[in-house]
Amino acid sequence: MQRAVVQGSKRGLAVLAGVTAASGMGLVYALENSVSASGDNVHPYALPWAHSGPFSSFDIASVRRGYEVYKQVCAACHSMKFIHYRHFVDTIMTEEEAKAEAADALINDVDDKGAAIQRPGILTDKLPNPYPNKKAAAAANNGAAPPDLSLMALARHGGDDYVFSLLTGYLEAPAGVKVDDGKAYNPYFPGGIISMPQQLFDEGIEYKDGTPATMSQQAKDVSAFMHWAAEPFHDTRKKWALKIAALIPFVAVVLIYGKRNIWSFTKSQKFLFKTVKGREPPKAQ
Amino acid sequence: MKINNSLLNFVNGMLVTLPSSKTLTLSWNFGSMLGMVLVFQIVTGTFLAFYYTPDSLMAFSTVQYIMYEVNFGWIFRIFHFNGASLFFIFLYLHIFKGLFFMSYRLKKVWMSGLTIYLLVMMEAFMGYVLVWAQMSFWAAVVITSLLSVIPIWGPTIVTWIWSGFGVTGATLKFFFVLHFLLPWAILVIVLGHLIFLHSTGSTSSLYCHGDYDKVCFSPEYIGKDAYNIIVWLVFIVLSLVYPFNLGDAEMFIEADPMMSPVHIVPEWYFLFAYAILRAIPNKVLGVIALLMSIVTFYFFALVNNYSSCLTKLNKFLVFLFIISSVILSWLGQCMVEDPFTILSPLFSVIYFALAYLLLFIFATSKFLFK
Repeated sequence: MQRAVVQGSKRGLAVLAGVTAASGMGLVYALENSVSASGDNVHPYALPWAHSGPFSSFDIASVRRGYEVYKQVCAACHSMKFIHYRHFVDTIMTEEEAKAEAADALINDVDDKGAAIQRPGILTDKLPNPYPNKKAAAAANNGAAPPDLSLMALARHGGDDYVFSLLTGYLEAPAGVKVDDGKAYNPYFPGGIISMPQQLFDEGIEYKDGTPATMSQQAKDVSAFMHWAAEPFHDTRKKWALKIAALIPFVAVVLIYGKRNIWSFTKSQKFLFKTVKGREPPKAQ
Repeated sequence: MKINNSLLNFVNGMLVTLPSSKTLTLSWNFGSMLGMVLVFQIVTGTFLAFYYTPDSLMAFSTVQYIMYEVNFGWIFRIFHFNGASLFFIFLYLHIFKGLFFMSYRLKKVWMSGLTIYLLVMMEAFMGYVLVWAQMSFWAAVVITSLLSVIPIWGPTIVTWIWSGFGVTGATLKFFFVLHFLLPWAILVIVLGHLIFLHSTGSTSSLYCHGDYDKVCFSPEYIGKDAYNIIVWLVFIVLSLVYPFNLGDAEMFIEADPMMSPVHIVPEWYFLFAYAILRAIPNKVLGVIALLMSIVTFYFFALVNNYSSCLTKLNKFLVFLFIISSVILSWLGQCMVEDPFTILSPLFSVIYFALAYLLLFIFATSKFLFK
């Protein structure tokens, strides 16, 4: 009887705890989803990036095309201060290609007499900054300095999806929304008014590999390049993850077997309480 | 096994011959895991310190230098900042396990453990600031400003921590030095925590500490603690696959003292406390509530009850407490708008009510069985 009551109350507590946990999580889920629907900007849609899987690597052809877009379109206003030409070597280009790419750029430097010069780039040079400083960048762009793009793929909520949506999301401003001269309307940008006008257009550039340069193709490629620039080690880290993940089952088997082996004696012990004559335990009343 | 060397004897007593209850489950691995994470953080952190420069003009760039230029620097940084999350995951599991099994009956162990928790929170916060990104800079502004509520000396203390009249490069250097030194203090307190623990032995899953039917720590528990390696490998894989998922996008934008982020959110492990802080409109009361959300657990060590535990009720309440903490953490990252402005105070009240109910039941249950 007593056992039944205890079991019943245990079951009741378990049910109550389960219901409480489920309702708590339900509340969080419901409110979290309502939050996604609010806000002053459109959330970017999730895209099937070649590199978005846990063990997927970059589509290097796309990253290379993205560099072409960056160089011909974005680099006119945006810097990439953390990227050097040597980062291209054995990642998205061969050494010769990277050297040629660097030599193609004009780098600000000083000569032996301290005079300002421009020289062809070498592998150890950073990608050139279009402006001498932030104030010059702001002055040339209606007061809004174009941000550095090295980390842009990680520095915005939505990441690659956001970059793609922003680049392809320019629209006519809806009635009631005032857009000043030099600005543009883009619902993916927080607030909707962005200082950067639309930059990508169908056939705006010509790809070296002959891929049709539609607007969405360019946006996809430059988004992939910007993600590569934000973490050039991306493919290496996933390769390591895969190797270590493959190791886990073997390590687990060894450790679990070892532990069970060590514990087998302790776990298989039996205790026998033997009453010695004359030292019997007191009888239950 | 007897060794004629006092230091080795000490280590031997800690790791080999230590009498341990047979009933310690996998939940008792949390503590050893925390020790491993602490050492891991010290090793990776020292590596990062070789390349880091605590200067407001260079800090963000040197962090990126580690990511882009230092040979495999990125892997050390990824492990270090995700290691902080791993530390807190096991810290919370360890604390909840302690609440489940009423480990606060080991007073010195409990109080030293809570002190470690507070110091680790400070350590993690200061490490977060070192990145000198938008979110870390503004977190430094918000959190250090809280100290201004201390009567009389508050503004002086804030100015002293800032090393000036605002969060600047001098503040960054202040935080870097403390972030570098504090882990060694934590290591010493951890040693004290272990010595206190081993003077009685762990609370077993039978809620007892007595010297009965025990086994040596080695090889039984060394073999069991080796399971931590599996967790480590899983952590390493997750860190490599999703390195930035626990962070915020604002951590990739260099600090700009002239422009605050739209929505300031701390790291996930501080969210419950942040929700409690935001729940109260009055700044002084908010800071007091924030402090009490942890200090409350020191009070458990003030109660003497070794004779009776309402274990089922205790476990049930701890379970509810965990749920309320998780919901509070989620509320901590929500916008300041309805219904969150109502839910945050509500769940803050539930958090404190459950904590004090646990304490009340622990303090009074001994009278039930007199």
